[in-house]
Amino acid sequence: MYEKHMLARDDIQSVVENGVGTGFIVKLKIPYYRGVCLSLVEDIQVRFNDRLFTRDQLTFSVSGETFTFKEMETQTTFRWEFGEKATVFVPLPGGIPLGMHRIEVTVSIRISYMGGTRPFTVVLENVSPMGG
Amino acid sequence: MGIKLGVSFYSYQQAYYTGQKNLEQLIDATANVVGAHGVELIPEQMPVGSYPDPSEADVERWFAWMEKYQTEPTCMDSFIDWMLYKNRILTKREQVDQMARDLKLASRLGFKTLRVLCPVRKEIVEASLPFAEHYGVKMGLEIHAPMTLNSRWTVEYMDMVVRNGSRFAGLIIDFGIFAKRPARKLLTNALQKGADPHILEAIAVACADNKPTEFLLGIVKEMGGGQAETGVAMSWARNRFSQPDRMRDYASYIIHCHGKFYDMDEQCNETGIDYQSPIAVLKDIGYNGYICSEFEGQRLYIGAEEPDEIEQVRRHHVMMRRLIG
Repeated sequence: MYEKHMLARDDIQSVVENGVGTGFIVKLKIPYYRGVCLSLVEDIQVRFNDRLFTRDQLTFSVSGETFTFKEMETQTTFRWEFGEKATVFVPLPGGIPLGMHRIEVTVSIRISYMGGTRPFTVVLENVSPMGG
Repeated sequence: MGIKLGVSFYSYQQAYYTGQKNLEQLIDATANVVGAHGVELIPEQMPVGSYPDPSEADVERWFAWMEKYQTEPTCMDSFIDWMLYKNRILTKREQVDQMARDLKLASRLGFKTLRVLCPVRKEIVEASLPFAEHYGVKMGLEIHAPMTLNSRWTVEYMDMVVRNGSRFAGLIIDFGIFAKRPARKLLTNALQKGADPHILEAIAVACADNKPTEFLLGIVKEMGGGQAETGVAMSWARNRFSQPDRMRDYASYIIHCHGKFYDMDEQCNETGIDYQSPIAVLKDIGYNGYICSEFEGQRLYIGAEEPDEIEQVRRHHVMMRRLIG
């Protein structure tokens, strides 16, 4: 279910500020059957072609608020609800170049009853993002 | 009285996740397509307004839907996030606070029972009893595979319940503990990947005979199976069959049931789980609570094919009505 529905092609968009590409956003649904508060989002990684972006480089926005992953560790009131799109910003100076790209996103949620995290990876090939 | 039928909205998760149906539309489908009255909800999956503190207006709208569609809240499914923080496990008191929070929400939304996930410790349930009594909501530990009715976890929990003499803690039976063979869809998926039907049948027979995973893997090896057959054998690793008769020992403590199912065929039969004997036992012991359908076959749909969750639930209710009589 999640591989097909957590990330749609249209949900990868270039970010341009003052005419300059600063990166791109990925709008993601949670790969888990319920919503969680943000402290339970253990990790997100984005791989753009061969470049890996880790949690310290990304920001996460939900319900109109933006957090770093460090800030999310103690965030127990804001939630990433089931089926709701959160926005992950990936800094890529110049924005996404023209052409086809491969984007891989891994989300790890801490699941108490499983006693740990369950990383879930989704891959989109031949992505040619539109400008945002 | 007798057994009542409802739907756990867990069954409709894909329709909700993809935005095809909202909560009200799912209540409508439950009443008017499935023909059921009971609604079981995971509020962290499909919040009524917001979780855990809906507004008064959200709560009023919820009851207005119950009235409009002639449905009623049955069981609310709770989670205790004891790994809430990265750096430590929540204390017992903090876990009880989470239980109290969910009991309060259940009470506000009119749910009579709260599903307690099977790994929640009995000490947490015991310490939450005063809250359950205060809010008038019963807690039920879910007996879910790989747990069985005979597991030490179940027996020790029930010792605690009996010792307390409280009617606010009991059991929720998940019908997955009565699984007899791999779901049809799992087998057809394996066939599409090139599995040998003879090996799959041998695995299915061994499953029905309650053989351990090692035995199933032995069949695959002996008959020259590969990855597809091994996948089916491994899918059974978490299944432990419980004897339906064992429910008699706990008869007065069963407060709710999850009609877990994976794949209903065109004749409205569950293709892997025994329903006939457990329902016969429940009738015999005079169980008059709910069985709420819990479709969990979404992940068996690979490739372009998508599940029709509402149709699966409808078929499940046809079967249950037939068995209940």
